[in-house]
Parts: sequence; C-alpha cells; structure tokens
Amino acid sequence: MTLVLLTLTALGALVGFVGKGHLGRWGAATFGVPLAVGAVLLATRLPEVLDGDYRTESYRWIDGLDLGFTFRTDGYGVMLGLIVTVIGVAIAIYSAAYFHHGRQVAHIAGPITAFAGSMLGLVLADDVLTLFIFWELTSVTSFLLIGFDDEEPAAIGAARKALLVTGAGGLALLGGLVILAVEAGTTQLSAIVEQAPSGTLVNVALVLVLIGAFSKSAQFPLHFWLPGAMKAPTPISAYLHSATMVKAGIVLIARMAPGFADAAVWRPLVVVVGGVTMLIGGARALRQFDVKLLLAHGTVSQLGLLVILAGFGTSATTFVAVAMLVTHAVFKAPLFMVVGAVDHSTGTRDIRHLGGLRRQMPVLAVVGGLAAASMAALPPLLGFASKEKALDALVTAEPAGWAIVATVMVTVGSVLTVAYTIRWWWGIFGDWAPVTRLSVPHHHAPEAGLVVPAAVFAGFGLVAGIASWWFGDRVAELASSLNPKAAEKYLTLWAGFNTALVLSAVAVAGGVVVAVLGRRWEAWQPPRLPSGDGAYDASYQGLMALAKRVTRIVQPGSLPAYVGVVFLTLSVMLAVALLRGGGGGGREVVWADSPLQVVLAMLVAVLAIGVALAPRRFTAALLLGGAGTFQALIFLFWGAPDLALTQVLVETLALVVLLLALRHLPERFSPEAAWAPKGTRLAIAVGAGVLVTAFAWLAGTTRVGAPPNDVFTEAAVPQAGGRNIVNVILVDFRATDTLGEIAVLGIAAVGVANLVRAARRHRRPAPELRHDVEQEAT
Amino acid sequence: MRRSELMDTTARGLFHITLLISVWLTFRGHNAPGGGFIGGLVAASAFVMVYLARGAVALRRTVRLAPSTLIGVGLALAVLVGLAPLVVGDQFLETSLTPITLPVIGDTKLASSVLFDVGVYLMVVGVVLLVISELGAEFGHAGEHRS
Repeated sequence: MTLVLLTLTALGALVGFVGKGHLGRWGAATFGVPLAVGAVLLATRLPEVLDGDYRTESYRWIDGLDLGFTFRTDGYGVMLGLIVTVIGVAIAIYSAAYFHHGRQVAHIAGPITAFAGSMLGLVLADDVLTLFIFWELTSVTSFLLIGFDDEEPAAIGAARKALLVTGAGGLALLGGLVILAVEAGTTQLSAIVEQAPSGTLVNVALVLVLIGAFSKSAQFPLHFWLPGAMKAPTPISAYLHSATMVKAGIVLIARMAPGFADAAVWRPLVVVVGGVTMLIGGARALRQFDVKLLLAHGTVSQLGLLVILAGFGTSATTFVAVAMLVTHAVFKAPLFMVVGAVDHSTGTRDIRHLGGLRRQMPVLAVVGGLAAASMAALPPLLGFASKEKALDALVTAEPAGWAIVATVMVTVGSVLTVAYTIRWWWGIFGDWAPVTRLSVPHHHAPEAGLVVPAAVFAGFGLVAGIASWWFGDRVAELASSLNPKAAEKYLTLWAGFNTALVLSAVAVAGGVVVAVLGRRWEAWQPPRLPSGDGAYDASYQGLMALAKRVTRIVQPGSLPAYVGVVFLTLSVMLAVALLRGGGGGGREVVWADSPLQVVLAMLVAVLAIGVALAPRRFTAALLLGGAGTFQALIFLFWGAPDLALTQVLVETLALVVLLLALRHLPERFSPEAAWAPKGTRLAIAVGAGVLVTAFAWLAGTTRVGAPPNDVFTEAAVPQAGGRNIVNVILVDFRATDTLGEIAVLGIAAVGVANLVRAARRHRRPAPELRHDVEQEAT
Repeated sequence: MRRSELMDTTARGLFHITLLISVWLTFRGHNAPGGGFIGGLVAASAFVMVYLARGAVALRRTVRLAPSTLIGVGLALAVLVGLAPLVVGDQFLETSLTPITLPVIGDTKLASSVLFDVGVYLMVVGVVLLVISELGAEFGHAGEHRS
C-alpha cells in the first residue's frame, strides 16, 4: 500500500513540476487529490491496524549489500500518515484561497506534493536507510518551499540555513543509524528497537541519532532555523513547519525510546534539551510582535515538550506523546491558518497594528479562540486532556529523578504557553494595542476557503476533547505498536483532584500573570550571548572565506602551471607504482613488426619535438595534429582499427577546436613561463617522459594473469551478439563504465560552454589578433 | 573569415554522405570497426565542415536542435536502455538478443545494445556541437557580417 501512496504523490509531484506554468489554481488539485486518495487508503487500513494487524512491505534493491526499501503499516505509522494526508488536503483547499495569483499555487504544487510523499515514506519506513532517504527528501523539499520567493534574499538565506542545519543533522543521524544497524545486525528499525543493543558504541550512536532528531525538530541549540523558515508562505509554514516535518525528529525518538530510553545518555539528553527548548521557545514567543513568528517560537517550545514526552520512554509517556502529536497538529495548523487569513485580509501580522478584529471577523475569532484554548490546555478541549495526562505521566514516572526535572520544566513551560497564547489571541482579536487599532488601512472579510479548513480542525479539537475517553482509547490502540502497554492508557477530562490538575491550574494562573506583566519583557533587549544562530553564521562565513583562500592557492590561473602539476602527479604515481611493482621482465619486447612502424614512430617523435620547439601556437597545433595522426597509423598497423579510427577523428576535431581557442590567445608563446624556473620545468618534463616510457616497457613485458581478451572473445558472440570485441566491451561487458564516461563527457561539455560564455562577457578578442588568424587560415 | 566557394561546394557535397557514413559506422560497429563513439565523431565532423565553410549561423540553421538537447536525449536513451532489463528481471544494462530475419542479410540477431550505441552517438554529436558553437560563436558571427 505504501508503494501506491508513494506512486500517487510522485505522480502528483511530477504533474506539479512539469505543468507549473499551465496549472493555475488547479495546482492545488495536483496536491490535494493524491493526498485525499491517500487519506482514504490509509483510513481503510485503520480497522485492521487497530486490531494489531500490521503489514510489512519490502522492495529489494541491491541484494549483495542487503539494501532495500521496507515499510510497515503499524498503528503509529498509519496515524502519522493520516495526519500528513488529512492536513495536506486542508492545506490544498486553503492554498487555493490564500494565494493572490494562481501562478503561485501552481509553483508550490510540485515541491509540496513531493514533500507529502517524502513525509509518508518517512513515517511508514521500517528500515533505517529507507527512513534516512525520506528524511533527507523532506529537508530538500522544505528547502525549496522556504525559498519559494527566490528573489527575496532573506528567504534564500533562511532556506539555506534550514537546509544546512537539518542536512548536517541528517549526516549525524546517518552515522548513528549505521552504527545501530551494524551493532544489531539488521537494518530493520523495529528489530533494532526490539533487540536494543547496548554499549559505548551504541551510546555514541544514540547521541548521533538524537542530534539528527533535534536538528530536524528545532531543538536548542539547533532551533534557530525554524523561525527563519517562516519566510515561506503561511500555508507552507502551517503544513511543514508546524504540523508535519518538524515532527520527524519526534516521530523517530518515539519509535526508538521503548528500546533505548534506559541507555545512559538518552534520558538526560532528552529531558534537558527538550526542557530548555520548551522554556527558550516560550520566552522568545512572548517577545514577538509578528503573530506568525510568535507561533513559530511557540512551535519550538511545543516541540521541546514533545521531545520530553516521546523520549522519556515509559508506556504512559509514549501514549501521551502520541496523543500530543495529534493534539498539536490539530491546534497548530488552524492557528497558522488563522494568521494567514488575518494577513490576507488586513495585509499585516503585527500586533501593534492589529487588535480588535473580533468585531470585524467574529467567526475567525471563535475559530482562533478554540485552537488557542487547546494550545493553552483549557478544558474541555483536547489540549487540556492531553496536557493533563502528560503531567500525570511525568509525575508518576520512574525513575523519579529525571521525571521531577521534566515535570518542573514542563510546568514552567506551560505557564509560558498560556502567556503567549493570550498574547497571540488578544493581540489579534482583543485590545492589545488600542491606540493603533485603526492603523490597518483597509481590510476585507476572509474568504470561506481560508476559514473553513481552520474551523474543521479547531472543531475537531473541541469534539475530541469532549469525547476524550473515546479519542484516547483509539490513540491507545494505535500507540500500542510502539509499546504494548500503551494500550491500557486512556484520556479523560476529569481524573479527580491530583497533582496534574494542580499543576494545570498553576500553569493557567501563572500564564495570565505573565501575559499581563510580560508587556515589559517585550521591550527588553537581551544581552548578546553565544547562540546556535551566531555559531551558524560564523561557521558559514568562515567556510566561505576558507574556500576563497584555498581557491586562490590551488587555482593561480596559469595554464602551464596546471599542466605542470598534472605531470608531476603522474610522475610521482608512476614512480611509486614502479618501485612497489618491482622488476618485470619474463616476456620478449617486440619493438616492431615491420620497418614501416619504425619510420612512423620516428615521425611521431620528430613532430613531438617540433611541438616543443615551435615558437608560434598555430605551428605547434598543426604539428601536434600531425603527431596524433601518425600515432593513429601505428595503431592501425598493430591491428587496432577501432582505436586508429577514433584517434584520427579525435585528432581532426581537436585541431578544429584548438584553432578556435587559439583566436583568443597571443600568436606566439610567451618567452618565459613565470610559474617555475626553467630547471624545474625541464625536470618535470624529462621525468614524466622517462617514467611513462619505463612504465610502458614494464607493463608490456610483465604478465601475471591471463589476458582478459580470451574470455571476452569467447563470450562476445553468444552473450552479446557481436563480433567486434572492442565495441562489445564498450556497449555490453563494460557498458556501465561507458555510461559513466559519457555522463562525464556531457558534464565537461556543459562546463566548457559555460566557462566560454562567462569569459565572453568579460573580454573581447583583440581585433588585430583575429586578423592574424585569418591570414594563417587562408 | 572569407567564405571560400571551393570549401562551400565541397561541404555541401560531402555533408549528407558523411552523415550516412556515420549512421552506417554506428550500426555495423557491433561486428566490424565502428560504433556509436566513432559514428558520432564522423557526424560531428560533417557539422564542423558546415561551420568551417559557412559559419556559425549556417550551422545553427542546419542543426535545429540545441546541442544540450542532443546531449540530454543521448544520455537519457543510454540510461533507459540500462534500466529496461530491470523491468523483466535482468541485470542493469544486460543485453537482450532478438533473432530476426531481414530481407537481404538473412537470419541475424538484434542486440538491444545497439540502442545504447545510438545514445552514445547522439551524446558525442551534442558535445562536439556544443563546444564548436560556443568557442566559435563570435568568429562565425563576424564571418556572416563580412560575407
């Protein structure tokens, strides 16, 4: 089934990428339709999955390396797949209304559909390498979508930052996954978690995996790329950077925690990093004026909470992590949609210019209010039921040490969550900035396409909250694929007077106080501390400077110097090979078959010496062509017609190309090459000549194995249906080599063409030079 | 560059014959000296003749396709020939032989690797054309003006 899902999204992406210019608003359909079909397909699997009937699909790729694609439709995977597809469909509908031009919708259709497919592959993968491939694909598609506005330098910078941070994290992840796969002896993710190998090496691997997950899920100190990613259009932020892609790290952590949570490094890292992220994100959100950035920092904070829950590793935290994943997706997506609708209607997202919009947009205010209340964990919404259970799971968790740390951090984080939620809703719809309320010049009522998708999710948060017992039971059945004991867990709005309820009350009360007092916090300028963002900028600029310096050293711009280096390298390699290969011999040297060959060889030698002595470039080029042509004749007389034919043709065409290039160069060679003293150049030339000759002699007289031509000669006709062995080798026995060679040839040609084009823009050939070449040509 | 009548007439006369020879060389390559690489070089030399005799603009008029298209199509063809056997469960780039009977030649076998060679052919022609048209762009342009 996964194959069907991936094919559907791949086809949608293809239509999107190819039809970019012609789709208009239909671009939303190339994205929405495959995902709608995918959602239905996944939903039909639900009954079986809830019964614990999971299916594994494997597609072998390279048997020898045990490489392949493996997917498993277990409860957790199917649930995540449903989140990806259902929210995707809503985003497609929303996009059609959001963008002013159909062209923009069509422009995102390709990458966003490709993203959805990659995300589906990621959540259903049961092979660590499959997971890694789709993980990286989501980073690449996210890069394309953040850089949607490719003329805006800030968007380009943000896209690059997100790609480099998540890409570097991806490399760490790959290292970690490979170590785990080697230690466990299998690449199957579920089997690795079941075996749960241990040891120092495994701890190193777990740290690497966590670094990868933290970078993707915007955890401190790698969180800084996510607010930058808000340069993407709001539908994209709602989909990738709140509801789906940033959850990838948490998805993986939740899959691995049941096996590895008790490893020495795991729980401290998860609790400390998740907790610090939750606090920093919450505090930063309180300082934002842009309501979208506020939500972005809020997302960072919520992701910290999810990392703690997903990573803590008890059956209760695993269950509540899964519930929280759904909860967060169904409140954060509508919050972003509301921001997009407000932006669309008023042209601003700044709470210093907004405010009081509840009067003009009452429906949007209710929708936003419902979603916000779920984020702040107010009853009777789903957010309340999940947060209660989360606090309860941490309070009762073993071992108590890290559980207490986590409980304190989550409680303080929840205070901040309530505070920034108030700031968000009151800033847009309330009277946050009464003085400037009228500074929005013109606004219109938001279109239905912007409100309805948000209302559906916000409504779901309310219904699922009231029916949290029912919702909780379904989640428990789905989460049991991670940890069988999670099946016994449940959600409820009223669990009696317990510690969790007290903590929830503290969070709400504290949040209101912070929101009111926090008005001073927004103006406070924090001291410049070393931060992840600063480290990123410094290392990026440092790398660029280093690259420039290296280029200046290794590419001085002198062609003779390059040739000198090439020959020097060749000589060193030949010398090493000769010294290590030892004495050859054993076979007679056949100097020549006929006097004609001797004459030809002497002609080649004479012409070659002429090339070296010729004062003018044109003469040298002609002599070189002559030497090559006589060389071809030597090939012919030794019985290699294919080689001879090729040599003649290459010589002819090379001469033409050379003459074309000569037009740009002075007529005579410059009198003295400056890159090295004459002695050095002479030494390199003589050394290369002697060593090549010695090597040819040794290679020709030494034979340790049977010549391969016997094998090829026998196999040529029956296996490849050809009698010309040279050609059969090229197109059959060694066809992969040929394929590689022609690919290189094509790349080289494109490179040459671009270099010439770039040079032509910079300078034009001197007129008298062109005149000279003409005279010589005629 | 002055246009030479002699060169012009020779190029016109030889152009189609050279192209024919290049195709012949490509298809006989499996059993006798020749092949896609050699055939491609011969075809390229036919276009180089056009360029030398009549300049870059005439060359562009003769080859309607962009050189980069030729390179892309050639490479794609070679890759597709490689991938096709995977569909029927063979190895990447494995040659399949189909026995056929041709009117003049008689019983023979058609090797799928011939298509691979056609890919190489297109690729080589594209590469040479790209280099010639880029390096010779100004030159041919000036020649057109003067003639």
